[in-house]
Amino acid sequence: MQRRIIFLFMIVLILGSFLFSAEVTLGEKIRTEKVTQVSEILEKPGDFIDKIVRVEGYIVDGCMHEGTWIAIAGDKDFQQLTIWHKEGKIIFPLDHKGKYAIAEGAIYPVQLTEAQAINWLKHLAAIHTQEIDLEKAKGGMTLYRLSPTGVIIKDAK
Amino acid sequence: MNWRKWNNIIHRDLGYFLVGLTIIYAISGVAANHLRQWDSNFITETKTFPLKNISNDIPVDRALVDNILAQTGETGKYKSHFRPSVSRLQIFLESGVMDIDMYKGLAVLERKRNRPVLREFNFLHLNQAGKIWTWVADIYAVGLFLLAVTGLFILKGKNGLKGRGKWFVIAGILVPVVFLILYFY
Repeated sequence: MQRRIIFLFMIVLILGSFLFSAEVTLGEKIRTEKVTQVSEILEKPGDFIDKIVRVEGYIVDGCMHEGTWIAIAGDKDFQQLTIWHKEGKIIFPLDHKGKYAIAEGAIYPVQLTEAQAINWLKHLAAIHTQEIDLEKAKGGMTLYRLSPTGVIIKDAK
Repeated sequence: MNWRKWNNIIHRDLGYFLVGLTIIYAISGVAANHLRQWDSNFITETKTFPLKNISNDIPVDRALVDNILAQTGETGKYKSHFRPSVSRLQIFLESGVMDIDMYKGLAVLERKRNRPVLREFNFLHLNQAGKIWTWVADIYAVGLFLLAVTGLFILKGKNGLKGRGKWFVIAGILVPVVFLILYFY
């Protein structure tokens, strides 16, 4: 009886080790080879709307409760890009922070009202301990995100 | 064999078969309900280091990063770094993420490790596995439905559905109905 319990326990441990492998692939296979820099997208986001791009970067932030979104570091200071599936079809692992993400998908705009924009800027000010310029929120704001079709998350570049 | 005997056999054996999954879903259900108050997925360890000669106006380059890592003793584990704002610097290490407040001259190293058992339970309950596990979870849901329905007809007489059982069933149905009226409509 004891042997059976030990045997079952070992099977569970082996299966468990496969659950959390080093590289995670989500959604479809990534086909685009050219990497588009986050700075290029943020400079002229309108040019990238609904275009399929591949972006890469270390994960600097994300949803720690449900894994609905992540944000990757840009190639330039102070820039990051949020990767959030429009319909919530891609859920990210919760231990994402500090890992390297490769994502393919389309850029889409998110329109914030003035009140939403103020809240967003206040949120940024709180996490970055910096002053906010509420002028930016006047008349609302547009954020740009990538809705991924495929994502690979690995430990390092 | 009459239908009630079959009903009871299905209820009994399905109950035995689903007990493991039910325990996983029950424990993880409570854990997931309180994720915002308590992180049942990870144990987070943080270490704070005061830094010397760090301020907002210092240019951020690899030399500065090496300087910070030397001050904190976290050398040799560097992956990359990023500056999300003027006052913040993030250094990605194999052992975790170091968040530096350039304004205060403080570094906080955050390490996360899986909380044993609960991390695995949540992983399955929240269907982060996807793939074939989705089918397992669907079959489990059908199994639970069958358990509930067969459970109604186990006993007959005064303790059965037609007796006191119906009051418990009605009370159980009223609980979600009341909350829907309160919170949803």
